[in-house]
Amino acid sequence: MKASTKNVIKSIAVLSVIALVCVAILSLANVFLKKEVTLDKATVKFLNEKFATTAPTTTGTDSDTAYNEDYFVMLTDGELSNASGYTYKSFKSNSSNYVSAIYYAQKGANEGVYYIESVSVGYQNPISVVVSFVIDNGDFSIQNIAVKEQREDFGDRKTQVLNPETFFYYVSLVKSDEDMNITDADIIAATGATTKKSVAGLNRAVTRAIDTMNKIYTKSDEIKAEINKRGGQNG
Amino acid sequence: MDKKTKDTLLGGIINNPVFVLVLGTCPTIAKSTNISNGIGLGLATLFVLLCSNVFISLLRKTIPGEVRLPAYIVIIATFVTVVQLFVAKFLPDLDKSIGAFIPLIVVNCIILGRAEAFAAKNNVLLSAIDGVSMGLGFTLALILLGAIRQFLSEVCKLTFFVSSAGGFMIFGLVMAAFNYVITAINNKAFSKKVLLDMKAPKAEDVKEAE
Repeated sequence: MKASTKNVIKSIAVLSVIALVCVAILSLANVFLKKEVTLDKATVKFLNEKFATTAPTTTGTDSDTAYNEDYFVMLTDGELSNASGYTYKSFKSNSSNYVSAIYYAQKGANEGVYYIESVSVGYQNPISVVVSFVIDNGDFSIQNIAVKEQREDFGDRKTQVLNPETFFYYVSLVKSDEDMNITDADIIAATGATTKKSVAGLNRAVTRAIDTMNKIYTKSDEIKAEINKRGGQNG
Repeated sequence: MDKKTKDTLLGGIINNPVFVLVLGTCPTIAKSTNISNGIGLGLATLFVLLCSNVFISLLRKTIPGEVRLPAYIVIIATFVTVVQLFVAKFLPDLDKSIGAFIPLIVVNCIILGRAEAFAAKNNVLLSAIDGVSMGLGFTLALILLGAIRQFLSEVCKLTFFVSSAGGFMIFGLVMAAFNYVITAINNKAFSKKVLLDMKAPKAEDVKEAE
């Protein structure tokens, strides 16, 4: 075997071994460091205050009380599966577009409202949005949409679609067409967005939340029954 | 402690990566707007420097020269991802503030520079010391710049210094002051050594006199 061939094989072998070791390190890190969505104080504050339109809070009480007295609950995989036959995995399109949590308001002025948190990658980072749904007369409608987390607007890139000043244009666009026949061009025209990938990411996340609600809204009574089994324990 | 270990240990100050080697300027200016950002980004970089230096030093005789750069990048990216996961899970506020810059540690010249210039040529212990020293040097530089910029913007209300242009000005001034001090110390140490050499009698002269 020629020396150059030997060198090439050695290079490939060394790079492969290094890559395997790195994959092992990352797999281990993922086990211990994977960020899990929980119904923490910050999330309750977000649900209680970001979705309020007329009153200061959606529940009618302050966020500390809402947290301490379990005004909101997060559906576990088991509860979701028992009630609807779906799991969170069922709502996953791919590794960058999925539903990360379903919350339910079990007390307060907004009782009975579902909040679906979904994620999709925009320009290069995940955009996490929460869409709230009201079930009425056997059908559901979008109550509001709020961005929970995003990193699309750092630096000089102005992604108008995610700016609070223009975001409501997007919300009204979605509310006017809940079947989500909205194109990226429609959103760009309505919000003045300049980064198409952010627009597409946001739209994918909202569409995923609506698709999810489409699958579970008929099982609302079963979901409530599952939550009631907790006996006041928050998730 | 031998001279090489001592030099490596003091490398973070004498050859400060930011003020002397002028490496990692982009994150330095972008994220040295306050002290807490400086500490966060500095410690994240320190961890990556330490781990990548140790790993690369361990494999320095195995990695063929032709593929050393892709190998280094894969190793560095692994540790950066670990830091990213850690910050996202345990330090959400810091993640919001400097999160966008953590993945960019992969292409920070300090990390690749130390891997190529030091870890690939030295043993594991020295490489680990170099990683810690350079990491601390980077962290201290970020803290110093962060403290000055935070003081100017919050106490003196000169918000211009939070901007990149203001950051560049502060960076230049601190770099000039830092190099002036380091050069003065080096000159003083050199003069002292020359003086001592002149005063000390040579061995042959002593023998001759006897």
